[in-house]
Amino acid sequence: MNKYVFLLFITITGVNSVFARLPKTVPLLPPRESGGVANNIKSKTINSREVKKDLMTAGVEIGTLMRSDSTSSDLLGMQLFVGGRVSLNIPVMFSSFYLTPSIGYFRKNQSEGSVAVVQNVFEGGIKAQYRFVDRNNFNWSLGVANRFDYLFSQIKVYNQSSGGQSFRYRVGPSSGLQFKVSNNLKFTTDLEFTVPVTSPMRLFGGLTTGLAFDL
Amino acid sequence: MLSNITYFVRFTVPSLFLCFLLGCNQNALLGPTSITVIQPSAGHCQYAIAPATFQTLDNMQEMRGKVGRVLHSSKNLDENPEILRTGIGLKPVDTEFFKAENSYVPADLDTLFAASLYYSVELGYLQTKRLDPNIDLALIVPNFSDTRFVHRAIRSSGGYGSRSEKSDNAEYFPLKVGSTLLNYFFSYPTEEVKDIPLGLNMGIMNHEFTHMVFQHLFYEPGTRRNMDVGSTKPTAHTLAALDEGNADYLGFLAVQDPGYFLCSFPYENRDLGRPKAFTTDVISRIESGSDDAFDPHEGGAVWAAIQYEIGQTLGNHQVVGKSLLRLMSNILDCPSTSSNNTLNFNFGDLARCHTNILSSDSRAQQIARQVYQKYLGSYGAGL
Repeated sequence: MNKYVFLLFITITGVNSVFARLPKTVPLLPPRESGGVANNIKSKTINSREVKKDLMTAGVEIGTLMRSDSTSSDLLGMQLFVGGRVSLNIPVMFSSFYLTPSIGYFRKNQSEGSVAVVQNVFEGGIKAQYRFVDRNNFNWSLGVANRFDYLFSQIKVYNQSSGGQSFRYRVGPSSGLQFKVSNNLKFTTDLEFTVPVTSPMRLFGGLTTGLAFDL
Repeated sequence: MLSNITYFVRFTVPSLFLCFLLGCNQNALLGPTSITVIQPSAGHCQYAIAPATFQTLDNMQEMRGKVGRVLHSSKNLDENPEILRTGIGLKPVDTEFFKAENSYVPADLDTLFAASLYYSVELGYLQTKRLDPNIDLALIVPNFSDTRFVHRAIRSSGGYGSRSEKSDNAEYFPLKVGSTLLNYFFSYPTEEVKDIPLGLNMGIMNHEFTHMVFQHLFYEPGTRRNMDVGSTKPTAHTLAALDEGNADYLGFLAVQDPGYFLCSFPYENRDLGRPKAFTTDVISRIESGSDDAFDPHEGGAVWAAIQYEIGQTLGNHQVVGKSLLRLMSNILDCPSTSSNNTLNFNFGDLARCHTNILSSDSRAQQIARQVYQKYLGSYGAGL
């Protein structure tokens, strides 16, 4: 038994020695500085980027929520609320279709003399968007935004304050642009126009910009 | 599974949509409505943000009802005079209300102004009716419900070359268009006021409302009777000062703060609680032939302070308020102020007419006579 084990050991060692001495025409790992092999690395990177397309991203945006107002406006018949949103960009079904749930907060402070009214909009919503243009460094998408608002207004005079609240659902078209900043980071800009389904009917606009990170 | 989805689509979704529409529809309102506004509370320049019951509102979203409607125009009303003449170009204020328990709360500053303007005028209307049930302005003022309160009105002040937009002010503006008198109230934008903007100061808006009462209890009947204004006494200046003085006093009655003017203009000499007299200087300015030296608010402030002291001494401001409403129309008939279809009087003559009105209440009449003698100066001779 021992002689058979000894013969097997000698055989494996010998075969390995023979293979180890054969000329190495194809390296197991390419030299890092080799120009020829860099193409392989490049092509591999392209492949891995295609895989990343379907990754979920998280975004942080700041900007304005605009509310049409025929009595007093900040810009083009709209009152501007200032705030921001955090969102997730989730690819679904196929790589160009995305769902974007988000939460946001916008605020507007109006005052005259010692009287002030502070309007707060806590917003939750989801956008469904399709990427019509999808390039390496840039993409443009169109879709539908749904927003559920919890509204809270506070009237203040001297040291007194009182408020009221309301809920609102609004829906409308949305559009988004993304520019690649680095492999995992994108600069984003989103525009949407929504209309509430309840009275009083008025137009809302959202213009936010920020950064999105691959997760 | 399919039947559940069908049920949801057929019944639940339409029900939710209907609830949304009905639940948030603020247009159709019947009866008194509770809306939160900034109201004066006990004490000088003390305020409470509290629900007020609007008695006469027909449409909350457009802030219109029995006493008029709140409107807005982004154009300069002096440069576009057809807007005031026709009303075309005046739009309801864009309002939004939220709910808090049983009250609606203005969601933004414009809505707060709109609600406050309407409520101020309603307060004046109801106060006038309460003081004297015979004076129902809805019956006296033609097209009363067409009274227009212009929020954030843009108008020019000053002459050509030095024109600027009016601000930090409020105004009653009767506009005659053909045979129709249109009643406008202007609440001008706030620029310098650091405290309560004029449109939210219910005392000041009731001051303006009293000008409308005076217009329809004195000027309109006087015009219909072709009354002349005599020149042997300072009648025109006295009338202007009386108009301001009555407005100051009835503004106080609406908010129960004699210093309500100071809540917007802290340095004005318009505190009714501070005694004032018709001094030689004040009288000389009233009697001067020049409009440059004359300020109707000065003599008016003296008249209002006298009325306040009468009410305080009497312990009953309602009696004084009612007698002043009566005075507005009685000037046309009082022997001391009118003869041969001609008005000719000074503040002494008005005091005589007023004490006669109080003759049914001997204590009130006596107190009024004493206070007048104390502050009328040379106008009090022979009272």
